[in-house]
Amino acid sequence: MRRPEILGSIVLAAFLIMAVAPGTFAPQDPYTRFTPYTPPGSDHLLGTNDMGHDILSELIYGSRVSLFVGFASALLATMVGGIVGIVAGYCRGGIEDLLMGFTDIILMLPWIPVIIILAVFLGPGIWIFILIFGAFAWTSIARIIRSKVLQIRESGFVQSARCLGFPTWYIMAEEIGPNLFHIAFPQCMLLVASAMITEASVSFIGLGDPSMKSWGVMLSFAFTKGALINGMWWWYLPPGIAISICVMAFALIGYSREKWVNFEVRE
Amino acid sequence: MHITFYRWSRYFFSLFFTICISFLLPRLMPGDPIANMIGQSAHVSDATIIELRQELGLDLPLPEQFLQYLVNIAHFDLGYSYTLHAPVSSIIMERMALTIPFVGIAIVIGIILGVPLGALAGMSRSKKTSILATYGSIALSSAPPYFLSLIALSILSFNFGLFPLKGVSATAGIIPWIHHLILPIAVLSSCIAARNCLIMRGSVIQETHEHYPLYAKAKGLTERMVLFQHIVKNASLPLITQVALDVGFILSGALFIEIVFSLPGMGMLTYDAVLSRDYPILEGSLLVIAIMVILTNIAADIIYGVIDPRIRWQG
Amino acid sequence: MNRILEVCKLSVSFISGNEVVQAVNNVSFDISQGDIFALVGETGCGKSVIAHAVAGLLPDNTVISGEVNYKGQDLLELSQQDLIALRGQEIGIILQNPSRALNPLYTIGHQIREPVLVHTMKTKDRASRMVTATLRKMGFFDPESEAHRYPFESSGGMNQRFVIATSTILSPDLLIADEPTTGLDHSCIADVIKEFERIKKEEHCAMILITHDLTLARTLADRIGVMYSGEIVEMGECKAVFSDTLHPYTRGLIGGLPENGCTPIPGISPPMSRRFPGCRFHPRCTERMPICGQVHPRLEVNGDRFVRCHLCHSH
Repeated sequence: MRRPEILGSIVLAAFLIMAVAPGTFAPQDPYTRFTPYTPPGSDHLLGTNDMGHDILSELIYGSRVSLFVGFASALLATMVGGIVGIVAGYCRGGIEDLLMGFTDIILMLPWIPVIIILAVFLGPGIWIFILIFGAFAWTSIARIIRSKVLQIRESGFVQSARCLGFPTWYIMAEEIGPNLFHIAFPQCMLLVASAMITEASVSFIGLGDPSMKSWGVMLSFAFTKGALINGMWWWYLPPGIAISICVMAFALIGYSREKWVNFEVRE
Repeated sequence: MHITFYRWSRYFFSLFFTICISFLLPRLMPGDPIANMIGQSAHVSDATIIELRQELGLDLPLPEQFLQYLVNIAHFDLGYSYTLHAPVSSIIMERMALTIPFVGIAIVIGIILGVPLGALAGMSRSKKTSILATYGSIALSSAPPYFLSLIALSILSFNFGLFPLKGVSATAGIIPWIHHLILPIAVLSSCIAARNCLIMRGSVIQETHEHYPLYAKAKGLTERMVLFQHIVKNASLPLITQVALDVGFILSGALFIEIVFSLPGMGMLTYDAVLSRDYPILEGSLLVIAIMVILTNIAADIIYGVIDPRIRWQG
Repeated sequence: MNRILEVCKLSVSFISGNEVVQAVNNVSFDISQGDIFALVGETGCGKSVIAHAVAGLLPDNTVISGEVNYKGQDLLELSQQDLIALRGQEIGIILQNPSRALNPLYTIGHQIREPVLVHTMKTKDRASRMVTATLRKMGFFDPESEAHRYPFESSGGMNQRFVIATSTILSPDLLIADEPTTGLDHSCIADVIKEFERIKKEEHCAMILITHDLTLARTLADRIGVMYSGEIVEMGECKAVFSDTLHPYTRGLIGGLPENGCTPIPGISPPMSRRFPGCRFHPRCTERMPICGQVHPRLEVNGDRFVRCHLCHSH
């Protein structure tokens, strides 16, 4: 593994542990009320917000929501993109033209406004976000997977499997699938990064699920309740920094697997 | 011929798809379509609602409604906002007057900064400055743009008072307008520059494996000339495609930045529309943003053709 | 005759990771004005590396020792700036794979006139006229329209002639041609040969011809050097080497020609990173003696003939 990948993995592991067992790390219950607007100090390491909630505890519990939304949306998008890419690359012909044409169309749709509108109509909720992200963000994966499938379907072992008379679905699942993993994985990591930024953005305009406080929802509350105007930096900085660091961890893992980024600078 | 046809049909279907989404959403969503069409917090009398139901043809079968919808769009009629009491198209036009220059200037600055930086970073990979540029770009593109805006606003405006905290009015003169826009443009263009830098860096690295840079060097061109007269031109081809596809993303990012800086552009319009559940405005915005993305992609195709003779000849 | 280039004890090694690959080992040769010196050998024997070393085009991770004296100055000691001034003007270089050596996004004319613009104070207009004149001299009927074409519109053979035009437009004193016919079909090779014969007759430049095509070397070269695994194993007058072959490897190469029945040399070249005692060729040699596996043979000099083989040891 390369250095950036190790760094990203360590940071990510830390966030994951926090998300799995927030209770062991959070100093307080995130819904207990203390004195509102307390600046950071010995009682509350990161201070409290307008409701008197401990911000550090909110942050730790928020990691669970943010990471879950990020992973779930990216996984869904990867699955859709993977299926489209494999089918298009393997079947060729009319099906390929149709699928890739459709991919090109979806690629151009501005999906953040679509998510906003749907969230307005259906009410805020993480599942709607996950579904819509999965429905729109799969295009890049589909294109990459398709070109890889085109490449390996002509290779010797796939040809021989076909000659031996294995059914198409079997070849796709058993022979091509594993070869695609190392391509899909970095893309999936980058999608998690993109999903987390998008979730934070959509939450920021008040379309986040208020019952499940993600980092984006925390930022949104801080902004609308005047943390900036009143100079309460401890309220809006922690969730924003948490999002940025977490997204960067995913980006480092994703990019370091990409050939073009070429992290190996020391030749 | 085939390629051209494919491209145009792609744009056509993209537009058609968006129109379908914005047509079907209010009609398929739970609740009374008429409420979905005018928005929840608008105060409209019962008599008007009955009148509207007739006018919008909501009792007609869906295909006929769709036809009517298409005709309306062709006449730039995107509906009426009962919250703002004005036609949607004229409201959006007014707000676009801020958003388009804002985004346009930021994209231009983002390209001017990001492309040479990425090119140099890709050419001399082991230099300290190149490594710094790469990691800096990854860090910058990892933060949500609106969070960067919050930080910039709190440091430069709140603590040092260099820039105004509140938004600009549309009627203000040119000087206050510039003064208000410097910070948002700086934030958006650095986000765009970071992404362009990464794309350009990767693209340059791929081009250096080609043979023509070596031959250009053999002709007596300096390293810098090889980079800027040869490699950058070839490496910018993937960048053009990517920037065009990113425009939807950039525009969305710009909306959130506008909200933080309270600039009266499309972002604030969307934000207010979300808060007041003003559906006509939201749908109109979606449609306009989609059209802008399609237009930029058409422009990118044209620029690509101008740069790459291989595409031009196929046309 | 006037000596243009003297290469003395040139060694080149590449460092990648912990591995050191010795690509060229202690190679010496010289070329006089108007002479064509051919370096022949199988792919990967290090002959192209010599071409790149002379032109100073090797990447940064190489270790070069020895001397490359061009008209009395050591090119290896020259500053980048002085080297750039020589490349393309006094030293012309032709790389293999012409279609990739040309930038796909610029017209032929633009790429041919580049060395003129870089090295002389001529205006674009006068440089373009020079391009037309050069192309006409090369036998193109309509040089102006040729100059407006793009590399992808021409065949590989045409492109190679354009590359030759680019490299000779400033009448260099030394021309380095690295595999100029590789990948071209027969009629194109004939064109390229005609071109080199014309250059030899009209321009009087010294030329290093690097090729694995013995027939091409025999047709064009005055002197020939045979390389195997980074070393020169036989060198001398072209006619003498072909009529009175001394080294078993050269005999093997000549035996591999179509007119001699295409008998290949058994085995493959050892990897450059592998060092072993004795002659580099002994594992594949049909005339192997016990000493060949123990002692590395010296390069024996006999007048103008050089050979590195225990069979030919002066007794």
